[in-house]
Amino acid sequence: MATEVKGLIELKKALKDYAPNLAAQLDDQMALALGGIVKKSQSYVPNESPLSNWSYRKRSEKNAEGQRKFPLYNSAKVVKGIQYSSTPRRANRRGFKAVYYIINKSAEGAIYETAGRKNPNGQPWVGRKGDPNDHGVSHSNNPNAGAQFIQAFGQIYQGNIESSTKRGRYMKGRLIFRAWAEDGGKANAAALTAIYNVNELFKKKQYFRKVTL
Amino acid sequence: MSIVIDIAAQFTGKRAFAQAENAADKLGRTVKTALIGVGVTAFAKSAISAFAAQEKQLNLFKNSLRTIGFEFATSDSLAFLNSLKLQFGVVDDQLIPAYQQLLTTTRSLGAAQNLTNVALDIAARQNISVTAAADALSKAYLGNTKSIGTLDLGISKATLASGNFAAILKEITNVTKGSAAAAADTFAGKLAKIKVAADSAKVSIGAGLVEALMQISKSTDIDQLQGKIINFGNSAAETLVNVGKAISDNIVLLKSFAIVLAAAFTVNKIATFIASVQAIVKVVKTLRNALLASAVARNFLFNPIGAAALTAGMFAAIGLVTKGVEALSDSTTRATENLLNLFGASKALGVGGDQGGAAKYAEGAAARAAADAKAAAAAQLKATQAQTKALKDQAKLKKAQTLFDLDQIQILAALQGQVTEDEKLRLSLQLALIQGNASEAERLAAQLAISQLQTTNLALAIAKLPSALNPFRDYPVDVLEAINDINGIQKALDGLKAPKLSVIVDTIYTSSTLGGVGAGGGGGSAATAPITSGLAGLGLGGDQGAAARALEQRRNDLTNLERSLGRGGDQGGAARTNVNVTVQGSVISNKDLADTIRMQLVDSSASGSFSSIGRVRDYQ
Repeated sequence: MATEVKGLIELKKALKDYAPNLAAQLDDQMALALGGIVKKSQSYVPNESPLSNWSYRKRSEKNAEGQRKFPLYNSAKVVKGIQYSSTPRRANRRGFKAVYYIINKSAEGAIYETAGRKNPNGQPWVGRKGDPNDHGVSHSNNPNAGAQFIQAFGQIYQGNIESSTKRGRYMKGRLIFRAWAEDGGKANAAALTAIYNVNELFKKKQYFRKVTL
Repeated sequence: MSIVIDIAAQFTGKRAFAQAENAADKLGRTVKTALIGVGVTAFAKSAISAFAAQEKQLNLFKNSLRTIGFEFATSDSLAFLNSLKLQFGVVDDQLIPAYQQLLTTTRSLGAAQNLTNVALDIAARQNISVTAAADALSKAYLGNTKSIGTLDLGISKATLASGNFAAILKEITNVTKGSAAAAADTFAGKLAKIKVAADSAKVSIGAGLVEALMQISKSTDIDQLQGKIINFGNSAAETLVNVGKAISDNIVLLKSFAIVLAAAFTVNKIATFIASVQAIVKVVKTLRNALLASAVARNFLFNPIGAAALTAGMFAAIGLVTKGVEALSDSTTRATENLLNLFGASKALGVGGDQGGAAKYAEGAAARAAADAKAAAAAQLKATQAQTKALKDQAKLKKAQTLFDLDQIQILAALQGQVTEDEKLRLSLQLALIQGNASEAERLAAQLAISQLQTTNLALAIAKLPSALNPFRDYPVDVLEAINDINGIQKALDGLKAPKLSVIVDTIYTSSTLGGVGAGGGGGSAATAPITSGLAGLGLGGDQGAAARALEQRRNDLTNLERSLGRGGDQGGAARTNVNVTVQGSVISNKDLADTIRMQLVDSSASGSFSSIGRVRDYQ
């Protein structure tokens, strides 16, 4: 999905150093382009937990071994965790660094977003006897726990995969991917147009002069 | 893990390349470690440690058997345990304590061995340690069946409650029989067996190394060995300084020695290693001491154990038989004594024989010298051959290594994929840098620089910028025009000088006889006629027609007169001449001209010329 914009990081630095007004203008336009997706994604966050026993309640967040427990659903935290950002992320394994992106930060938000992506009917069930460190299987007493958990979340939506570096299930989701799919690429086009326009404006300022004698 | 939709991204590539560099560095360190022998040293240390740990465990085992009166069965017990260990892949740390506990409990060798086998089966079936299984069996043997009951072996509660160990053991055997053998037959079991065998080998090597050290140092125990090593270490630093001088004095001979040493360390083949050691021995013979060479070779073999001390000892031993030995100070002698003491002096390494040979050589046996020289030449040849072979092997290894060069592999793999032109340039440049292709790297670097500029559209933007105005562009034309203007002005100025006027005056020459003939007053009139006619020629006269007629009349009169006087008719034409009058100033009006002529006539009359006008000159 990400469009590779060559020189984008350099452009941002140049805007910051030489044309702060243009930098602010770009931020405003990106907010306009991506804010709609964020708002729409946040509107898809259920107010109540899809599963009655998954609701947030006060508890110790770590187990006896000091490990983090499975997160509980907190709609406010999920909503707060859906954002857009213009701070470049760390480069991925293929060397691409995302500069503008929409992110679903919270753990419970990520669970609600992606549950059922890989295994639509839940992970293979082994029960209590399996290796407790094996996180690729279900250790629940209920063999149908995984399927019921996913079923309660409802449909998972396929995001727009055109011009995407990701494929198939990696573009599926219930919050940001759903909003992205329903937007139909308009926000993406608006964001890229904003970048292009600011770049053109910056060039018109002619910070670089050709000196000949 | 955050869920992210990327809107706009940029390829940086740094991380992948950094990973590749790290992988290459790691591989390089591993190879370096293997080549310089640090890994061997570490293994030797590990082997000695394993040997020490096992020796400690065996001593404890012997003591426990002695305590319960089974000291006589120590060797048999160890043999039994060793066979079990290799058969089922169980380490001594598990097996010996289990057997020891069962023997202590049952006080019967047969029962202990039988129960050890059962414990192995239980451990394999329940995936617990052998010591835990033996502990449960021991307690059950003594009537405490709780532990054996918790193992979930399917023993009936009635049997357990009865406390009948034979019945319990029978049920256990029925359940677990063959489990250990089956477990040992699995892949994991085989790996465990291999590990046990490797550990045994390691312990054996450790034992051998410790024994070798003890024998070399002629030490009866570890404490004595420790003391000798400390004594040597105290003088080692001082010795090394003097040894350095000895080496510099014999650098040519030692160079061959070093080459063979490098070959031995570089080529990772045992055969080459052994051959190199033999070559070392022969090369060191050129130091005129075959037996000492043997000692050096031995030191080299033991290099992994105590690299620094023994290497220093090796060079110190070389110093004994080289020319530089005289340069060694008293402190060197003390260090050498300590070294000889460490290595058990002469006999253990045959150094004594060597010293005797050196003494004989010192006495100057010519035949011996010739033989030595021949041997030295042969050794030199062999060393050169070994060096050549080592270099060839190195080249082969290097060529083979390029196939596994992670950098190149990753770059080539990346080039196979769908990459943009910019990425392709970057990758190609990386490849050229790795391969050391300078010209290609330069070309690609230039292309990449252009590509980067194009990437940011800076090149295009710069190209579209209008050219700055050049104030000196028309310099030559302007200057020429200025010069022309100046010339024009100069010409105009030149034109401002007084003009030269040419006045054509028809003059009539009259002889003195003419006036004398009696022309009378008519003569005066005739004298003024040319002037009038001249003025008429200039167009300055008032009535030009009348003047012309008067002039013509005069000419006719003169002609007639001359005819009457008998003169030729050509005189009139010959008397015609041009008079130039230079006017200083400007002639604007008739008056000006008349004044000028008048002034000339006055001046002429002053010079004695005839003039009909008054001599009044109005000088200004």
